[in-house]
Amino acid sequence: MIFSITFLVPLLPLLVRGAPFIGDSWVHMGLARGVLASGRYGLASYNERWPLVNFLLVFLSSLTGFSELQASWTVPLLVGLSALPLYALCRRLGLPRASALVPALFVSLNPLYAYVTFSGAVMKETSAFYLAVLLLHLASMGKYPSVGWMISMAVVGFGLVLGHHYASLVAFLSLWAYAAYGLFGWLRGENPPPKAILYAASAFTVPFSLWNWLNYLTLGAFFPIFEASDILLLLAVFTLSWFTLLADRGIISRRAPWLASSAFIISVLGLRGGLYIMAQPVEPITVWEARNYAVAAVFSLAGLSAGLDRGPLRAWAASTVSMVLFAPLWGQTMPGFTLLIKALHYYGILLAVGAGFTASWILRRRGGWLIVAATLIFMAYASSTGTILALNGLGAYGREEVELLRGISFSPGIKLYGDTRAAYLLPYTSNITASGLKPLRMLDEGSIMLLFRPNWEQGFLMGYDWVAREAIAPEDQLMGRGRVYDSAHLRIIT
Amino acid sequence: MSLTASILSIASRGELKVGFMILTISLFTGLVVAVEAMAQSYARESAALREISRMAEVKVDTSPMGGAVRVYASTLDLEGRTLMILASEDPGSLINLEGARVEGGLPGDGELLVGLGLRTLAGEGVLKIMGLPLRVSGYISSPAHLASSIITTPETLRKIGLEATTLYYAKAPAGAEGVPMAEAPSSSSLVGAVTGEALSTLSILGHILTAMLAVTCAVQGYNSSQEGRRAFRVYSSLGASRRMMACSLIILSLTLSLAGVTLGYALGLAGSAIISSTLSLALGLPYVKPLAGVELLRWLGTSYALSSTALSIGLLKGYRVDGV
Amino acid sequence: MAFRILRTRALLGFCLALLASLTMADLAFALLYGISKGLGSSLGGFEGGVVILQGGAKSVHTSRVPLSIAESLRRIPGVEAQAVTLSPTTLYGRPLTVRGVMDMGEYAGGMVEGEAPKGSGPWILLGEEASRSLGLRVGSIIALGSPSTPRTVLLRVSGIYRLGDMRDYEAAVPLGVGAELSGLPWGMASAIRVEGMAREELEKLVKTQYSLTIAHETMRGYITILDPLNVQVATLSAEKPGPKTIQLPFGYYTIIYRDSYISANLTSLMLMGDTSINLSQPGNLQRLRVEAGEDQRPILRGGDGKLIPGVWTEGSWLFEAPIGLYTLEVGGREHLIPLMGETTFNPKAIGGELGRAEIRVQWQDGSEVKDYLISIWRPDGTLVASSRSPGTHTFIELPPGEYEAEVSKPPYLARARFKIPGDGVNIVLPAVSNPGRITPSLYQQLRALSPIEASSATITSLLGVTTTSLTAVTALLTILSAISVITIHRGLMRSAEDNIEVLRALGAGRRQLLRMVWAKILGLDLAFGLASANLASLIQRQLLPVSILGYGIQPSPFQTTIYSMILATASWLISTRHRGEEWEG
Repeated sequence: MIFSITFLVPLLPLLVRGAPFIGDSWVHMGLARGVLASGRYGLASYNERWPLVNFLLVFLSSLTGFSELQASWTVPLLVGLSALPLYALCRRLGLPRASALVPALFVSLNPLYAYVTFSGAVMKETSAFYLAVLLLHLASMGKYPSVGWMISMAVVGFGLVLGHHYASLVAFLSLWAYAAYGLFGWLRGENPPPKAILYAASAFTVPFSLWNWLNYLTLGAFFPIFEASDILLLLAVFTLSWFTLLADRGIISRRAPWLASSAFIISVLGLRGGLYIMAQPVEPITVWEARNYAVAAVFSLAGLSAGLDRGPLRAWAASTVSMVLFAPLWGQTMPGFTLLIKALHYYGILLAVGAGFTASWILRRRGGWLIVAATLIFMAYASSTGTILALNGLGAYGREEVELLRGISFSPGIKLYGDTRAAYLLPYTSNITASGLKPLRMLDEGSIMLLFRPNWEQGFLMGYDWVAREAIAPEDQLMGRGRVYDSAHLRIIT
Repeated sequence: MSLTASILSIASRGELKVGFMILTISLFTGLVVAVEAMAQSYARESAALREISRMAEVKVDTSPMGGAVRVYASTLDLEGRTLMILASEDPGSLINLEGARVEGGLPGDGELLVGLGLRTLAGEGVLKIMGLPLRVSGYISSPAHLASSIITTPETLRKIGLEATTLYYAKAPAGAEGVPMAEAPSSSSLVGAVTGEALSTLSILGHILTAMLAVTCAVQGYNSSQEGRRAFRVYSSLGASRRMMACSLIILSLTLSLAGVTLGYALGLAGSAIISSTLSLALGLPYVKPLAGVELLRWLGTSYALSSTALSIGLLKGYRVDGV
Repeated sequence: MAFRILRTRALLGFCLALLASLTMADLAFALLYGISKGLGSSLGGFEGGVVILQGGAKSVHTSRVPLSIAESLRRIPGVEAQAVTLSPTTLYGRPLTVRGVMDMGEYAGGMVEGEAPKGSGPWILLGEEASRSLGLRVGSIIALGSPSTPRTVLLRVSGIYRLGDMRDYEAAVPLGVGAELSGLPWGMASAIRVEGMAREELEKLVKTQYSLTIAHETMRGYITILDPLNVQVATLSAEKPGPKTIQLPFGYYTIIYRDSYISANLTSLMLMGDTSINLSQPGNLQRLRVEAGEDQRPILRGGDGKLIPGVWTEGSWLFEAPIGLYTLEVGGREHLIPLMGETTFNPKAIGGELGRAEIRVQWQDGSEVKDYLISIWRPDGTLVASSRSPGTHTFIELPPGEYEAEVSKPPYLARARFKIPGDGVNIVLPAVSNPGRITPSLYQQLRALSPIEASSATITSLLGVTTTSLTAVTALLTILSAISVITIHRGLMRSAEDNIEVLRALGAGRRQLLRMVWAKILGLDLAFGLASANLASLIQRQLLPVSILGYGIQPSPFQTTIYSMILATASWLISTRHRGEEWEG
């Protein structure tokens, strides 16, 4: 039952709305369709340079005969399936069976952010997620390496490198953190030399560096805001994070992971505390939301120190905490916020395992199962608001929208305006590109604007920034314009 | 296990007071890194500020400049008022550079162009200066700062008999080098001046810190050797030669310095970023992200070289003094 | 004993390391304290009182505040108001803040060289520190560039002053010169410093628009309201009946009646709340006595051509008419008669040997005045002549004697005495020729701040980046230096572990150890704390002269010493306590 919940949550957008979450999904499905049609795979664009998700869609479609939209169910399914290696990891870290189930649930029900917005999307990062968890699990088996282990590491590592840059960066840092802790432990005589992990880290470094460096050179313009200085800052934060977990005892040690706890506070500040300068106004945090965060924080962080004496978890902590800390230090604008969200996907795993250790401690007490069950149910309730909002938000698509757009053919050469949602969906459904977003009053003669239901109910997405509806299509202008198409989910205005 | 590995192993267990050494090196290195990273970031931010500030259009200097108008400036007190007298061979160019508006004509020899504020002094179109009656050829109606000024020719100024300061007025060409006496608008040079002040401070701080790092490392190394003399005696009695011990100690100091400098780099860069971010949130100041560039790597290299050398000297000195 | 326990060599190392770290910590603290103090009071001279700035202005340097507010506030008993301009500029590439000041009295009292001239002009006073860092002496002529406009101003260094605060790093100029440098329009200043009024009260006062209701009887002409800078802020027709209400900001206003070339001051008031006034009729009949023969029958006509009958009485002709400008025909000649009050006119006053006088009329800014009425009066109040003049120069021929010239250019009036024969006279009207109108919305933007907030606004804008960089560095310096000091202490404690274990084994208790060893360490710490504070001050003065925008950072040696002693003691406490807990554990 627990695994069915973890499988179900990522599939919610598809089950409830009939379409994957977020616009990137359409890009990848479009690419997959193109590859299936042409039989060739290009490496021209950003979304092609990390081809794992595209390969997955192409492979499944060609194998099963399903459409790419149907094949896309696989990605959220795989994210859900990452609960299995996570369970295995927790068992390897020493958690009993019941406690080892808690992390998988925690990941799905984390009130820190709406997990469904990540897991329910068909993106490079989502497709790489289960590989990241799998790699962590494999790393934990590195004490007694075998040929099979090395092959698994190589395959998973290679898949991760081709999967997503950020996920592979987290893996890269984690592997080296693990190797460094192992080296230090070997120097102290606590463990044998960590040859396997050292080899794994070194082997991973080569494709990771080469592939990402090559992509950076090719797509340089895509990363204009990241500089070498930022990488050095990230390394500095990572070193600091690694060091704070080095000692076994003391005020700065794995027993007192202050930095990991601070990362939680920074996450909350970043999401709800106005840490970032963003176009979309953020509602001030309420007492109830603070309560939800507090429960999640206590549940996940209380037991974390108990698990940090295990090398793999300590290494994962060093890397993921540094990614969370790096996000606000990089900058306090929208790209920094995006970095924070990305970091939370992997930091969430750390919190989840910490929750497992907390649950393990509670379950040893009388009535512990009741407390753990109540906490998890509370977390489900706490995360439900965010999930529901997300499923009905600007990032979510509906089957009706997709089918309606598919059913409309646009004249060639027509100028079409719409927000980011439309810009992503249109190329997939209609093979046409939107010309951006313009206020209605500035619409050119003969051009049209697409409005989806979330647009007239909630507003528009310009890039990843929210724009109020009144700024683009105020009610009076909307009523005064001609309607080429009008339905419950789509309006085309001229 | 080799001698070096053995010593490293002892050190990693906290013997030989290495934790203390690493911490000291890292603290000082962190300070150096913080100073230099913020300095580089500040220099870049200021350069951006300089670009968006207005570039100078007019420059004034005491040294000749290409295309400059030479002006002789002097002051005198007349009827309780301080007046500025400017004499130029080309009063027309001076008027243009000042963007002045004139009613009347430009002054010739024996004539004056008078600021409007001095109109009441000029009776019947004649102004007496130092007993010399001079015809008023016109009045300067703007800008306001010329209201108490008189423009004339150098010959007239000579006749009046005032000592003058020679200045050169010119249009400021884009990208011109050099620091003139004044330029207008001066916002660009102001940004440059303030930047220079701050960078100078930060640079001196960095040098002081590096010097302190060397001294502290030498002392720490010496103390550490003293602390570990028992262990060194054991190694000696097991057959380790002085040369082997010395090599091992040097490798130890290189390793400790590397660890210290790495940690210091992390502390300095991350620490200054954290504090800058906190200041930004708490006090509404702009967030200045520390910049880690080539210059910083040079400082890190210097810190590493100094600390490892000083540590080696200290360790070897302490080892030798003990007479083992 | 203590030294033997701690071992001499270890102690030596400890002393050196402690001295280095404490000095660094003190230096960092001194910088941090000095920077925050210096930055916070970089507008020195604003200490105390309240500062009025333009709301929304990023800094004092870009703020615009009406000068009329300062003039009005000064008229309130117990309130002092000083308008200032602040222009950050550079001289030979070094930053210098130039302060335009209304009243040089304080500066004059602090002169160390030269003197502060009276009145406005192209001169500048340098603060002692500024003159030292710029290498300028009294008598030097310097050029300063405006930060925002392509204007350069030449100034003579007239004096060097010492006030004992941050203004010693600045330069002072007359307010007009400061306004020119700042690119401020006429009638504006950067800020106004006010003493004698609470902040909230002042802000409410200057931001609020008040109603002024004027009731008057119907009469010819206009009612003009002038602000304290003699700028016309409102004009009402006096011919329309009924009270009139206008919205005006706080200020001292003069209400003037004017008709044709005549103006009369009706009243003045300080507008600090909604006010109603009832203006008395300026148009009551005034008497004109014309010294002419009974047979001459002078004819008086008003501006509308209406004849005013005269009466022969007491050897002269008497006319009664309201205030205004009239034409008098007598003896075959026409004379302009401005009738402002009881007036005597002698048409025969101009006769005999005549002398010539030139009367020069200009606005305050020196520009020409055109089309005004000039009247010449004898000292006994007899009107001698009156004429309309089209241009700035008027030549009058009169018999030798003393006279008073009155120029009327409504709503302005100015007088001056002159002699014939003589050099003539210069008359300056009490206003500038083309004052810019200050929009009421500017008043509503005004904010009253404490001096630190005003400074912070300045620093945030101009030096935001500098502030962050330096504060972040020095804060980190302070923290890490303090950690370093504590670490060194603990290192020393650890180095003596073995010997102290022996002592404990021999039965020494905590108190004995405290007396034998730790107290001596504390003494050493305090001594080093004092030494390092002095060393830090020396380094800061000699090697590390820090300045921001030309303002020197002046850390307080006393504060630094206290900090150093506290840091040394605190690290001693932490180390000894930690050791004690370990042993008891």
